Amino acid sequence: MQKNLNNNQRRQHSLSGQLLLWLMICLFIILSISSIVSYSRAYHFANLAYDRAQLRVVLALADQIDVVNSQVVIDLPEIAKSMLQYDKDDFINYRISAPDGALVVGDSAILPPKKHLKSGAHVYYDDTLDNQKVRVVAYALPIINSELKGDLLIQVAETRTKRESMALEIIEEMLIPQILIMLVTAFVIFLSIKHSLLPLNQLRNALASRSHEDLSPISTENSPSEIIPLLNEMNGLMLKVKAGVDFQKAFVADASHQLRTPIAALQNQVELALREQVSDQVRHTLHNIASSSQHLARLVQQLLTLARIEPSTKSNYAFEKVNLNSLAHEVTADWVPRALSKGIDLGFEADEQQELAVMGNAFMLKEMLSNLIDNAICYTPEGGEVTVALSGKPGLIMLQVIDNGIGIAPAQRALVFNRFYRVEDSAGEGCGLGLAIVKEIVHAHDAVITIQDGLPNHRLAAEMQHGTDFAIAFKAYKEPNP
Amino acid sequence: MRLLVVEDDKILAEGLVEALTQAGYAIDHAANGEIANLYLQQTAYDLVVLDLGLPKVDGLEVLKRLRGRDDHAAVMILTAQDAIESRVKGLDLGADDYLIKPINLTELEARVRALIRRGKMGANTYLVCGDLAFNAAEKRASCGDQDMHLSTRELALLEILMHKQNKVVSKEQVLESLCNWDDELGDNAVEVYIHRLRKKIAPANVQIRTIRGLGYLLENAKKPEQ
Repeated sequence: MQKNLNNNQRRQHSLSGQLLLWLMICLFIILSISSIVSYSRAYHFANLAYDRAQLRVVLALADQIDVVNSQVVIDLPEIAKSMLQYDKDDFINYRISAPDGALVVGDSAILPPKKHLKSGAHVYYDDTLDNQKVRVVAYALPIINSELKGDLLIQVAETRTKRESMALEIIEEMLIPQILIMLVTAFVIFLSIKHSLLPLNQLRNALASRSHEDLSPISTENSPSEIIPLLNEMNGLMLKVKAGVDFQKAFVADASHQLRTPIAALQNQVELALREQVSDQVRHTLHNIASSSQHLARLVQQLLTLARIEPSTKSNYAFEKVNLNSLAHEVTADWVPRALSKGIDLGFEADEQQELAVMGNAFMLKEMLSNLIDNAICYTPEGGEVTVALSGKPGLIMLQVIDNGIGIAPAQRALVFNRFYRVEDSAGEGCGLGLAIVKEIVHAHDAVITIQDGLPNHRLAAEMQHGTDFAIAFKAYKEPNP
Repeated sequence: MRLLVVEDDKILAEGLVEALTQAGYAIDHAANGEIANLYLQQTAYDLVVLDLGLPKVDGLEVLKRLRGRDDHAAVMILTAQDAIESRVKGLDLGADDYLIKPINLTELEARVRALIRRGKMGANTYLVCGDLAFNAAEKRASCGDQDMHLSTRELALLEILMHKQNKVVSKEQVLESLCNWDDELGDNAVEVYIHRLRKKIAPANVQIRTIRGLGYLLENAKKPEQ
């Protein structure tokens, strides 16, 4: 059952996990878009800077060109040539074309720009050269003082390593703070989600600590407005359940009342019949009817008691200071005649020096002790001993009902508080709901009940057996602080 | 002695009438509150056994009208209603006893006797246990025809035990009965008096049991055959 529950929880979405996931996805998308945009901007500015430098190279190249007799003459010193072809990061190629497009000098693989350049104008564009991305500057150099008419086209192509690494550098500078901001944001979001969901946790704890009988509405105070409709629905449901439970309890109580009269009639008729002269067999039968009807009467009484105390979330019965010494004394004394009729020595032991008081309801506590004594007498054979003991420790009060009866095996001890549970092979009529009533009352008083070995029972000579010791630990009454 | 049984359950009423008739009373039966009212107006009963949940007129209403007519007949409520409030209400309206169904016939008869006696003499003055009889008015104990010779304190002790026979009398109650208000007696004195009384009343087939931690209990030593 527990395992199942856990599995379910795992399969279900965590609200905070979901919120966090979606927020992180959004942040990631924003960051990605921003990186792409930033990169393109960075690349643009890197281009801008390097393009100018490249243009200067082109212009320097143009200075070295002369047209002599319709021939293009270029005067390039060797060192300038090598500088032109290679710098620290990039390969540089150039091409000078005649007005008719024929190669004058340089790399023939460099293609002319797609658009025709006006005389004296220059243009930058991206291209590929030998499968490498390059940046090209093209310049149309007008020919002056020559019969050769038109423009010389000077092109310088440079690989883009410098530009790209500069763009990367720029973007790195920009990205690191962005990532940091994202991490901080994620952390803050995580904390705020946790914090906002705190009321949900409190609500869960409040529900978890409820007894299964507490159907009072959940307080919507301090709850976030988002869950108030949910709480209202739950409270509505609680009310419906409570109405159902109340109806059922009222029904049990009514039924128990209604059963009393016919049971009384039955008992009285049997009693009258037993006063007549009848055969032994009939007398035996009548005795059986009498004891069955007594059993029935007790069960009905117990049902009624249980129906009454069950909804007792302290509201049905007023709790006040109850002196356990006098209560236990009185209840035990009431049971003496019944014990004597079964030949059982019922006694009371208490520390009389101390006043032992608890916060509780006298009616319920009497009912509880009565049921325990009844149970002890029920399961203690003739000649046995039952003792009600009351003792106080600091802060605690122990009420015990100890017998030397047939005892309860340790394995069965947890079960005897179940309704209608009976100790196996038990003789007699069984006590039905008695211990279930005891349990309810003990719970209502925030007390703890345990079953231990009672007094030794010497009846079975072969092995020593023990009776039962029901011990209830109450919190001692504390004067409220003024 | 004329008694009225007001009970709407036919079989229960029959049983009650039968038992009380056997006990020697003249019994009338009313099956609802209206009839009960009528009977009570016409006849002066010594005792009324009254159910509460009655058809037509409620038992408490019957009781209210009865007391309203200044009728002092003893009223014994016999009902399935065991709530404290209902009990208090019944007694406040003037009921003399309040019993919860089901009730043992022997106990019912004993309570009827007690109520009738009280009505006659104002208090329980003649107490019997086993062969022992105690006359509270004359402070005299007797076994059969023979008076028993008991001291004043022994008589006081016997009186309280007789009043609460088959019930536990606590040591404190015993002490109270023994003290003449001014002199002090120890726990030992109680035991001494109990011991003496025990010996003296033993021939009358009664015994005083010591109940561990609770006190003493007087009972008939002749167990009724079961």
